[in-house]
Amino acid sequence: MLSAILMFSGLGAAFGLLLGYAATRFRVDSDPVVDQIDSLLPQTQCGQCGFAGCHPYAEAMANGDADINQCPPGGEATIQALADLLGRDPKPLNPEHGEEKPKLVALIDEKTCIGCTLCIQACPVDAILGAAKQMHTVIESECTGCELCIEPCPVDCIDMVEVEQSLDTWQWPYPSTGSSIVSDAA
Amino acid sequence: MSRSDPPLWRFHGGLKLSGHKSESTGLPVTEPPLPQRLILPLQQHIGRPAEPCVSVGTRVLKGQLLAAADGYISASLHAPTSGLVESIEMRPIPHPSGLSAPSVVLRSDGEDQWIDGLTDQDSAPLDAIALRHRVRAAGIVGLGGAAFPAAVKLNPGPQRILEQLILNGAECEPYISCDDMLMRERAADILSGAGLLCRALGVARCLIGIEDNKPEALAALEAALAASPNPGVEVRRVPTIYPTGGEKQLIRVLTGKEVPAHGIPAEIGIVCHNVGTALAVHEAMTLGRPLISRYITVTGQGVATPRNLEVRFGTPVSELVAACGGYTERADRLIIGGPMMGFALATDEVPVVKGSNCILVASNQELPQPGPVMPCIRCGACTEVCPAGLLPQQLYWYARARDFDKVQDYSVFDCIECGCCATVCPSRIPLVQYYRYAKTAIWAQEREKEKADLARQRHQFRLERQDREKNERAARMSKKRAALEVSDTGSDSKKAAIEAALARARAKKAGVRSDASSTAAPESARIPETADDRARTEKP
Amino acid sequence: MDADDTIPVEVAYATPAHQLILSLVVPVGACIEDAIKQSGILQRFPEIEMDHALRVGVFGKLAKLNSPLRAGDRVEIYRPLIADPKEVRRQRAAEGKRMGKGGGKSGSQEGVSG
Repeated sequence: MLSAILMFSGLGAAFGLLLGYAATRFRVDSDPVVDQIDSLLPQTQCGQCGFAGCHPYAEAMANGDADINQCPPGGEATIQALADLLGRDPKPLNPEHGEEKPKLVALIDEKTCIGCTLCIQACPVDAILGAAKQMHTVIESECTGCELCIEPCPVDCIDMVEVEQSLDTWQWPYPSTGSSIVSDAA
Repeated sequence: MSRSDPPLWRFHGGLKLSGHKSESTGLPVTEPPLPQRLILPLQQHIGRPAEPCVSVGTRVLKGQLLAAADGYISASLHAPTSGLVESIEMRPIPHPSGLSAPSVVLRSDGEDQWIDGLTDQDSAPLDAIALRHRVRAAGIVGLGGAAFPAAVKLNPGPQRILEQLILNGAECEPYISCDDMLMRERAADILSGAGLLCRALGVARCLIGIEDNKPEALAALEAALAASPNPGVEVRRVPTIYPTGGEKQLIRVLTGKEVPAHGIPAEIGIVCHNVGTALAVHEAMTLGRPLISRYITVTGQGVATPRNLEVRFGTPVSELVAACGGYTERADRLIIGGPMMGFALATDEVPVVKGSNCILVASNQELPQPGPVMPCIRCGACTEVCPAGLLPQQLYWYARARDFDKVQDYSVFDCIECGCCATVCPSRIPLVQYYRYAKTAIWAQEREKEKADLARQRHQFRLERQDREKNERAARMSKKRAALEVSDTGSDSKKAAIEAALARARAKKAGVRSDASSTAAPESARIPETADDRARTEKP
Repeated sequence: MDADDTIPVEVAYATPAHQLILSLVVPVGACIEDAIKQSGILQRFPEIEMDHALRVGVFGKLAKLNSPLRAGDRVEIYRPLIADPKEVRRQRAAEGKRMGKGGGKSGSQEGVSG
């Protein structure tokens, strides 16, 4: 009996602590609107929008401090989705923030890398594996293509390259509407 | 036939197409000459690619494992002949993308020598689990075309109660006749395989469905069944309506049951396998032979002598065509698969794989280039013929507008891409192309979403980690301060300074080890140390 | 109770052609070596040899094989450099190229620039 009481009060205390800890730690995430906006952003964490990552940009949009057309990696599709969510009119991407480009990933030239760790420190999503004076390697599947590693590299050994298509990523093309085709726009 | 005709059901829609089967059924099945090189893609099946277990330069024997199944939904790959592993490299594969994929290139030594130990095996004592394991070890996949690992389909899970096996011998697509020839020539072995599949599934009943445009195949199976009677097995003649060979359609025709939307047949107590798969199971169990070859139809006006061949996997398409007398001058398009569901190959250097059932070298007359696309007139013909009971016109509008939510609302993933809708469309709209586009675009979106979720997690964790590191640094500093303050109580300031320096050195040494435990430092002592950090992190 | 005694970690190895991050749970108190062995990554990459020359770390910082792990740590198995850093610097100087920030110093820079 006593052990049961002890166990349950122990459990209670433990959960209390856990919840308290979680409440403070994850405090910023509690705004559902921000989370909804954030879920539409591409999570590139590139900062081209002028904010320190996608979540801060989402917060700014929720507060009315930022427009919906500041995310070049998301491009038109993201603007459309944000417009739908926030009940605003879609507008073209603001060129001040950059232009929509095809998705690329970083690739390190192993013959030149000197193991300086500057790219690792710059990568917002820990997608580069390496340490001081060890080879640095981009984890392709986790690279968001933000390009933040390019500038810090003292030996210019990082290039942005196209992701090679594989059977898993190949897509059927949109049926062509070539010259012989009569438009069926209603 | 003595038994009275059992009831059959109909599925919605479908088309009566001219069969073009007889072109390729006039000659017995033969083997093409042993190719010099076999190109064996590691992924010839649905699921994860097989993992190579030989290296370049390894000499292998016929039937030897080249690459092992990697995970549950995967299939092993065996050497179709003896020879030398020449390379493991990217090679073009038969895929609509025209992409290359990792493949084992095997140079034949001409000996065609089987690996030892594959003598006749007694399958009688094997239970369901052992049978399933052997099917898996033999690298058997569904040979109807989808190439789904057969062992997975033999394991419906403990909560599903199975009633019957359906063997699919419908072969509904025009021009393709490999199952027809297989049933004519190997009926007894197919029945043996059916029995083994029933045992593996724990069912006593098996229906074999064959379209009525294959009387020889029907007769052969009836005769084989008469020779070794089995009360649980029945051969059923089904009307020739495309696409009766679709799994859900054949189940409907034979049992009247509907496989639920987004569901699989096991949910209604049925498992469906192709007749070729049954033969492969027979060979694996009774002869111990892994899956290394299959029957393939080579047909069309573009090939001199259309016929069926028993082909080793990895044989280049060009050698199949050569074995059938080569191309004629009418050869216009090279299709792998049939005219309804196949796709064009850019080169005949690609190899045939486990899922290949037909090489169609079509003339311009057989497969004319489609005419100009006209606007949809909303005639509804597509809806009438859709065997999946979908609304092809709605799917078309939404796929065209890239409205992927709506496309899914209209069950695009239940589309079997049979092509009936596009065949009847008076405006020649490439409807199936739109559905295929939508499906792969949706998958791509899902991958993007997963990747974004991962990036979000990684980024958040990184921020938290940096926060933690900052706090730990601050804690170390405050500990130093505390040590300094204690020593500061002395009156002599010079002495104090020396003491403080010593203390700092000591603290630094100690701090490296016990940084996490020093969180109880006084608040005031931390402020000056963190100001710098704070300035750095508060920059937006 | 299981969750109290274990922590989630990752073990990672990367070459330009192939990168692998394995997720696993290890007992509280496990060290880097334990996680590497438990992950099975050595079987996936036979070229990794657990000898004195092997360099490992956690999130970009070198660590010893017996360093204890914390929840969420990513154990990283490194490969040596191909280039000689001094030689690269000398060459770039000779070619008149600017040498960026010099590198080597690990600070707590934010990953995201403002």
